[in-house]
Amino acid sequence: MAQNIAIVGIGETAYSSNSGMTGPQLLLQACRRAIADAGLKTTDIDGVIVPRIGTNVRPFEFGFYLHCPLRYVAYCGMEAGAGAVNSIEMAAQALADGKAKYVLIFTGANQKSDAKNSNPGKFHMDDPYKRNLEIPFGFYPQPVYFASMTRRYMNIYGDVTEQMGRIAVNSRRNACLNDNAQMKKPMTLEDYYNYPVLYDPFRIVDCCLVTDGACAFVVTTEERAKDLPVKPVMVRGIATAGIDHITEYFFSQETEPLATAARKTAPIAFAQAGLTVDDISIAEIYDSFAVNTICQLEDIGFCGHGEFRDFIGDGSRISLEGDLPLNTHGGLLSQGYIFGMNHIIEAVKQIRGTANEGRQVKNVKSAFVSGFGGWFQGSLILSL
Amino acid sequence: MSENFSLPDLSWPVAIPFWKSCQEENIKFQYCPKCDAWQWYPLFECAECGGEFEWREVTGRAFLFSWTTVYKAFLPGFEDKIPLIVAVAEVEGAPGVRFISNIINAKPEDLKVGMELKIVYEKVDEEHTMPRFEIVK
Ligand SMILES: [Zn+2]
Repeated sequence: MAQNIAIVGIGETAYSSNSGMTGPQLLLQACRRAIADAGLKTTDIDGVIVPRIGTNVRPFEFGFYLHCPLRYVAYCGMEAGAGAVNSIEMAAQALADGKAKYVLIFTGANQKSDAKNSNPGKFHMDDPYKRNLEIPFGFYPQPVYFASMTRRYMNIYGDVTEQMGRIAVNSRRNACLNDNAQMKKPMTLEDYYNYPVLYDPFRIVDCCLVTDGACAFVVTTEERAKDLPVKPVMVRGIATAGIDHITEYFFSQETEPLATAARKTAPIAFAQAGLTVDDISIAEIYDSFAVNTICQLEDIGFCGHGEFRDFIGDGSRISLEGDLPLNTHGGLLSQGYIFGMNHIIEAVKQIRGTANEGRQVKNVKSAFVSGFGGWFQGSLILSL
Repeated sequence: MSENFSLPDLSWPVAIPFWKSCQEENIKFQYCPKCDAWQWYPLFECAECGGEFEWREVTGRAFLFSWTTVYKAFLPGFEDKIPLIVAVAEVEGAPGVRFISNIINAKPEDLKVGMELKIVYEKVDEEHTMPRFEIVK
């Protein structure tokens, strides 16, 4: 439930391929920035939630590093983007129950420079089912999982290579306009086609980045938010769910891998917010691979199933000047891969009107964030 | 020498009967007689009733569900296999069993969702016999 809670502080590190910091230092930098952004002191923070993806930290460790008098600590077990949204749901519950006043949520890692310990394929590699029943046949890692889903999508609905290209080009343009993005080299659709196909139908630029970086935000009640110096960004709708079939995180075993749990969560989030797709100003959609973005947009209802090709058209609709600017920060494809935490931070900036010049969308009223995490997905609607 | 990722660990307990069935060129999957349900990936006991599985043979046919062609190897052990078609297929007569393997002797452009495949066997070495898919002509 959206229980009158607000995101009051956001913090992020630089997104790079080599942070030059240890993992904990990286996380601490994001946390300190989020707490300062909220106008709070570290000693005000009494709750911590860590979406476990990508980090091995224990939440209470940070109570020690930051001198937070913690009363509430939790891991969020949902994966990736779903965990980013679910951690806010968990915070809402902790705040409603009076277990904490200000909840700090953070994650991040040196996924690139410390690839041995933190690369995104590692937890798949460490699974004996995957090591023995998938990897020997070359089913590994994420680009292969999602390329095979994309082939299925294209076989059912028609080729979307050009449309994947337009997604990649849109993300790159937004990243080039972003002060904090990993990929800053401009890319046209022609440039896109010039990359070789590595995991059919994916080119390297269709694949999620691997990033050193961390994100953090502070969540509190609407009441307490009023006393803080920042413009609170309110949670108007929030829901997470799993798909119907129990598949763990074996992408090969999902009954219908093109169906995301957004079909369940988006109607709930819209109903809570009293809004429809037509009211949404910007969409920050988990974009590890274009097929994920496409399936979520279709499941949320921005377009019908299999209709993405017509929806995106020549790409102008999803541009910063279009009807539905998409992944205004550059997303996981061009800003950085912080598990969709960066999508939430971007939505907050756009709503506050503090995205850097050139990237700020005019008159942002409501943002829709969709966090995909395989089995799970979370829908989040934010506005002032 | 680095690990060869194109081979499984045959001693991983839960899949020992599976790899043995491959060695015998008669692939089998788990089936719970009490629940009348197939299970894949393998478990030590039926997830729903806790009972013991049988390993049952299947027709050896399957229907293509999804696939990709890999042109750049991620891991050691695949260098000489590129381009590699990695496919997920639904095993005939075993509802719920999706099996991953490679389609051999095929062109990527010939592949279609739902097309019929058959499981064939490649004896890689004395210990390892790997099941693969071929298109049923
Ligand atoms: Zn049973």
